[in-house]
Amino acid sequence: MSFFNAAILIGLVAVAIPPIIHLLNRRRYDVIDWGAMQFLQISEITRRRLLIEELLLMLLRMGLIAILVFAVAAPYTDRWIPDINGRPSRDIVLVVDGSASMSFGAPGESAQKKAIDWAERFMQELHAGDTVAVIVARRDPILLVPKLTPDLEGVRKKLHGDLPPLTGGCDWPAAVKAAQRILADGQGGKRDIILLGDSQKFGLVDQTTMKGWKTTAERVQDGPPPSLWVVNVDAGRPEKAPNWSVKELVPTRNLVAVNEKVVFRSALQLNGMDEYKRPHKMKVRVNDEDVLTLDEQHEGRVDGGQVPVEFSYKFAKPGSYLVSLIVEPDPPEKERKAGYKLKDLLPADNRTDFVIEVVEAVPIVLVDGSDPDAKKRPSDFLRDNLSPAKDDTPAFLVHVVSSREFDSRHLKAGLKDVRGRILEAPRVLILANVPSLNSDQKRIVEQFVKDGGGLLVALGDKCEPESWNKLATTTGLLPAQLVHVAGEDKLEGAARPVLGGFVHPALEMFRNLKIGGLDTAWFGRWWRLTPVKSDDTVIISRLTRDEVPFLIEKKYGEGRVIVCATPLDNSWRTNLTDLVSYVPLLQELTYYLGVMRRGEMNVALDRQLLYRIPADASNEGYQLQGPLDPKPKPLTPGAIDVPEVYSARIVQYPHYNVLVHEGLNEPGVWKLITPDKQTVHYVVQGDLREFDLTPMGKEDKEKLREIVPVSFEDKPELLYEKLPEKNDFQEFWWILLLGVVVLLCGEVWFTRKIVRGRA
Amino acid sequence: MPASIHFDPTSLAKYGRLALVARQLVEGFLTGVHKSPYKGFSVEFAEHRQYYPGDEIRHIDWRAFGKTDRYFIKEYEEETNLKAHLLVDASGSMAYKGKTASKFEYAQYIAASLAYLMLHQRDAVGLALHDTKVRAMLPPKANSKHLLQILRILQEAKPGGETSMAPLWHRMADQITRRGLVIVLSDCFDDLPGLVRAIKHFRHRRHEMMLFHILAPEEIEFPFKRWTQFRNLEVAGHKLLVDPQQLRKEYRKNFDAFCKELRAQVGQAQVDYYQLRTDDPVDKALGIYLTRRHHQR
Repeated sequence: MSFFNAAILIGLVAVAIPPIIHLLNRRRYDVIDWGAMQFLQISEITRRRLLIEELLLMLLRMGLIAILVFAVAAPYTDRWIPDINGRPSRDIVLVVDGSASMSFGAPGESAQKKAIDWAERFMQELHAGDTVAVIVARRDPILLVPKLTPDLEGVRKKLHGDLPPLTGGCDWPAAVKAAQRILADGQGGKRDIILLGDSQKFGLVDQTTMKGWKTTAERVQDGPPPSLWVVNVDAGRPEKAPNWSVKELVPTRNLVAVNEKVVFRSALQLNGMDEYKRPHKMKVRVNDEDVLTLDEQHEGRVDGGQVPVEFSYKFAKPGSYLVSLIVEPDPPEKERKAGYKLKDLLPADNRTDFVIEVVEAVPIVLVDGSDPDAKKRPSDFLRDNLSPAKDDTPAFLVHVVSSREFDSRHLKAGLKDVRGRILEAPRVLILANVPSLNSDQKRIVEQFVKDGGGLLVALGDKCEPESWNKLATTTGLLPAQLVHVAGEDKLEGAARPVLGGFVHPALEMFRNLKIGGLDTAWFGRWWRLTPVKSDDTVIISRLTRDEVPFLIEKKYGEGRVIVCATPLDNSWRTNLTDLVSYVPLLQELTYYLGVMRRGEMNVALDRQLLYRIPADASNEGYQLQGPLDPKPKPLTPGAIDVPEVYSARIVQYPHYNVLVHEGLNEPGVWKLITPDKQTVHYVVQGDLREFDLTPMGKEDKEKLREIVPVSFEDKPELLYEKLPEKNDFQEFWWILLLGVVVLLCGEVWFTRKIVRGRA
Repeated sequence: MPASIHFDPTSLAKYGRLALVARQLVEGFLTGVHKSPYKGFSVEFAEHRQYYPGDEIRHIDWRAFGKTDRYFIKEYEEETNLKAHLLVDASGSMAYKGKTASKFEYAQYIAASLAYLMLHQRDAVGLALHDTKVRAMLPPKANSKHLLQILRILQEAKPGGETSMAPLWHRMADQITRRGLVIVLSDCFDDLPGLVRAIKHFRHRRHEMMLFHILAPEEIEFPFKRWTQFRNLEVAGHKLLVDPQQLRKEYRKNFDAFCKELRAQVGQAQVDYYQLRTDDPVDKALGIYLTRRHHQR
């Protein structure tokens, strides 16, 4: 015997009420000075009779309370109570897989369609009085029919009309918890949760999901657990199902200047096929407009099931661009010849997106620490290479200032381009051979980096270690301490960057550069650096001499700092400035440091949306459109997430505010529409494992059974027959209630009898 | 009108409330019995007086009217040789006071009223106030000063002590040699056989006896509902905590049996038994007394 509302049993303490009242009455009595004491003396027999009467009455009342509490606690048993109702009414929650993998199948024969068809047939078998609720399992379960209803026609309509698009993965344990909550309100004698999916291993028994199942199993529930069925509606799916999917799109840089070529790389993952045949079409879209067709690429190249895809593109205007790579392995249905064999049965994974930021030019302030009167200054060298004088539209806009003159104005004011236009304030600050920073300069540099700026410190012979080391130890801005200048300033014994270390995004391109690569550079002298121990500090490149650090990076506030152990010019003996990779190195480092200002726009699931708003701009009037939203919804600071509105909050910084929306919980493209109707794209990368269609094996099923009691059914048409007809349990609170009535009558009768006897 | 003992109101007032109550009771009662069957008993003609409107016509001496042609009313003079003894129980149990006056107060009123009435009728009346011991005893006399003494003793008495009347009554039966009327005012909460034997002792001495069994309504009905601690009024420290509802039936059975037995036993001894509740009007006792006197004549 168990109880649905076991917590009510705490009410059994009420059994103590009759004795307590008795004792209280004995404690609270009247006092009377009495003369006729001789008549109060009663016989022992009478005394015993009265005691027994009193005791019986008290036991009767205690029993009455106890049985009432038991009845309210809703006891049930599966043993000795006969089933008086015949077939029990059944409460069923259908949980339909809403993940992308359910789109698998030829047009009109998707796994989701099969699930809906099965649900319809199943509901036809149900009896009057049976109730159904429907949940769509996604990362956040959607309650399609949120309450158990006997209106099966209504459920049918919902299944046909209101199912969301199939994207992303699904959280089965969360969906089962939601189903349990729905069943808690049910009245049926039999309760079932039926998971309608494709038995995909990922989502059911992967490591993260198994943790979820454990919490589901540990959850304290009232009443017996409902029966849990996992039904594979697409049991006929071939083990090696033909499927094309597009891997993540990776550009060479996240920030790029207009008309600057940026290279994007991706790959086609080919599953369930031995031979690679070119897709019907592969195209590139920018902001949802076709811009490139990649028909001619990669004929016949198959490498470990993956076909690399690479394309480049130049953006003509600054802004936030959504770049999409879409593959169509098969021609449209109309164009297919008779007997055409489909190459791809899962279209949901045929697209990948990336958001790239394009700027007019990357504004840079270059602080030169050398003598302002010197004929040749390091800053000239850097400026000429980043922003050549002959270039009318340089990718970088460099403003040079001597270290003595450098102050806050240089970091706040927008920079002028060659055409006299004022662009945005600097994104990157380069300190080239600066001896030291005064206190004001330290403060403004710190604030600049904290606010998302990039700082590149190129050390040189003028640098004063004591001053720079203070910056490393006190504020933590500098990721390394300067020890001493090493090297003999000659080729012999010079240090070279270690080739194997070029894994950093800014150095990745130098890995395959055969001629004039960064690894061929040599440095006659260098600063020996000791990295500051911190989780945010990382050595991104080393020199061959003792593997001393060459480039050290640190994340500081919202920005980044990179310290280079050598000057980035030829003031010390080096061949770096003569190499092909010199300018790319400067550019990549600058792009890498400059991208932080805007905030990440290619984010993982459940991360935040961050958008920087100038301090003087309004925080109101923003709209957000999620991947499943038919139209944008207001993004309102302080609001609660409701179907009509997205919530947001404003984080205030000295020079700007950041609009934060928590929980980008749907993979795909999110669009932020600013008050001036500009669209900023955010791409939420889904879990690519969702497209791994490997089904659960026997071992996986056993593993799951160890955690939760579950039955697997690969022949869905047989499920209805397998559902037990008998009640899992029988509630017998009504028997106890009858007992309460009987005891109540007994109590009244006995009390009246006693009272009459006393009269 | 019969001649009566004159009580000076001022001197009566000295005895406080009890005297006033007794006077009020008796005079009120006698006025009330103006048309009662008790009229004219125990009195003899004394003199005539002039008729005044309002006097009863039947008291007009028609012979005198025939002789003088004027109306004269006959006035009578009392004649008695009754010696009455008021035995008032002042034991602790008489102190019980429910919603009405205590039993002892009630007995005080009756004793005072009877004394007043008897002396008013020129009967001699004595008083014995007792618990286990005789606290005060006045021999029967028939003068007004004696009434004041009786009232004073009654007024000053406080109930207390145990009830053990039988030995005491035996002694008193021996002491009261001249035959008379013994009026007992008591709750009789005592050993019943002993009590009856003592009463029979009085009867053996050829005393007339009236037993006013004074009880509080609560003692008869036992109406208590809540748990109650009953503290013995006669034995210090003796107390009993009971649920009265549980005990009621048993109590009333015991109590009724006691009263019934008492009534039967004293009836056998030809003692007039009257049960008085403290919520009965006090003049009920006076009525009983006068009725009995009337029947004796």
